[in-house]
Amino acid sequence: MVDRALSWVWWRIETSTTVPARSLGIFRWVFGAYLLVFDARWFAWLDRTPDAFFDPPVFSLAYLVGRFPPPPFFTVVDIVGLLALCAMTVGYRTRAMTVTALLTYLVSSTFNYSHGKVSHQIAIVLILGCMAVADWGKGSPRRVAQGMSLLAVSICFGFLAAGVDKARFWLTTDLGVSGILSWYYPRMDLDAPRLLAPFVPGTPLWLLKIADFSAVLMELSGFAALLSGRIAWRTWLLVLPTFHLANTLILNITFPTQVVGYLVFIDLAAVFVLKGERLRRARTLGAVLLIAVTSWHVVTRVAGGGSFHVLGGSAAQLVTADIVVSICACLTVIALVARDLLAEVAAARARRTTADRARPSPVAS
Amino acid sequence: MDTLPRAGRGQALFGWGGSLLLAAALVTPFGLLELTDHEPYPAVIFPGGGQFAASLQGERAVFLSSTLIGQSPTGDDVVVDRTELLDPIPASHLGGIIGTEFGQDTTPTQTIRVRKTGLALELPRHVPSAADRQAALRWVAAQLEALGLRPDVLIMRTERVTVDHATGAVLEREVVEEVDLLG
Repeated sequence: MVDRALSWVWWRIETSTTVPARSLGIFRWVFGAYLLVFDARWFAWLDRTPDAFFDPPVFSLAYLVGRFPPPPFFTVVDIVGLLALCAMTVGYRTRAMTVTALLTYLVSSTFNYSHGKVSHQIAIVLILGCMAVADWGKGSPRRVAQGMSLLAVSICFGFLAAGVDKARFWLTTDLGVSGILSWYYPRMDLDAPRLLAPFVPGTPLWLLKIADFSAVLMELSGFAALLSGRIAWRTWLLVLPTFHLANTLILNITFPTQVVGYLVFIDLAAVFVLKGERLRRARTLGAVLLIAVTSWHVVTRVAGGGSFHVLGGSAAQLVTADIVVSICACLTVIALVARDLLAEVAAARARRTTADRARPSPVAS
Repeated sequence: MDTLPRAGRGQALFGWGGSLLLAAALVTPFGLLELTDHEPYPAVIFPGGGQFAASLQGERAVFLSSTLIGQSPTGDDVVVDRTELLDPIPASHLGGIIGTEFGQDTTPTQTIRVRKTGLALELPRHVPSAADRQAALRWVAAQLEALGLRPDVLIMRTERVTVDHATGAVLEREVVEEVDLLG
């Protein structure tokens, strides 16, 4: 009985998350190219941070190590990680390169978060880890299903953990407190409000309360959507980038990399339809461009500079670029997930119609 | 459709061992955070930020806001941009770095309290050497000078801000605390 329940849970998750194998190969190109162009790993600055700032979380590898590794450790790790990411993206020894990139992220992030605060940027690690299991669609069907299921469960759990934290405070009908305003006012006091942020003051408190409840509900409902089936799962996936877009427009908080990661769960093979010689040419051109981008990143890091963005520049100089990238990523992902959802709805209708036709017609008595 | 073959309806993708291992990998870090308020890394926890940092009094929002204040060579107070001050360190680390008094905190231990149990673990923390502390002060001074400010003045000013929610206009700013970060 219990074994059957476990089988049912994993079967439901697999059903919701299955995509064509070719789609994962396309996603590897999309995600890898996005990382190299807009969110290239950049931890070489850790080689220049004062050792006295070292204050790692107690439950971390860095705490056991006890200090920042000496320079040029992080520059070297950056270069290894960038080269692995580039090789992974263009399809050279994908699993080994994915694992290499993943390890470099884990090591660098551990020390990045040793400045007294852990941020929550775990999406890249999750995607690389689960795609190493699935080998981007090239593994056995069982391995691919395991990788996809692990990623879906992890994302649902990540949101659940965030939702539980919010639910404790935000799920109150007291109009004297507002979760969104609690983020909005302290943030906007420090940074100039952009986009739709200036319109938040004056918004009725009951409307903001509904938004508080909606955010918590969205974060807590991932597992329910995942177990409910392909349409429910894609509906939830459609809500996520919409939520991130609202965050960007209203609170100027961006999560573009995580948003691009959601594309792993949709059928990209139905969108990117190049075949034969045109596909080969596109791959060659893509590989050349990504090698050029990677080379640029490597050269700037060796020269003592670097940036996470292909345009270069510091975080302060790239605030506007980050917001633009976030909006474009959210809109693109919303469009692609919506397309996938509609295709899924149409397929479900077609299956129902076929089943109805196959059913014996009632015999008049 | 070129859909992947189903891995099998008869056999679960993960058996009991794998499922329990996955559950432990996900729940244990979250449990540690919940019990101790210390977030582990790595951990599958997305940003929560549930606690209220602002309260509403009718149509007025009241919250605390911390600003870094430097001083120009002529002695005028200047608001320091956090991102520019820390560059290339991400600005999100500012709170943690201020927590260590810009690397000057020499407290040898930290206490991990387990919620609702009364348990408290005393664990060693990294104590920077005198040379490292001096290097950190020199780093901050160089960052301030690069911004055209005096290298020896950096104050964190915490204000209680009252905003009219109807218009967004700031109605009142009251200084609650000023901490000399380089003192």
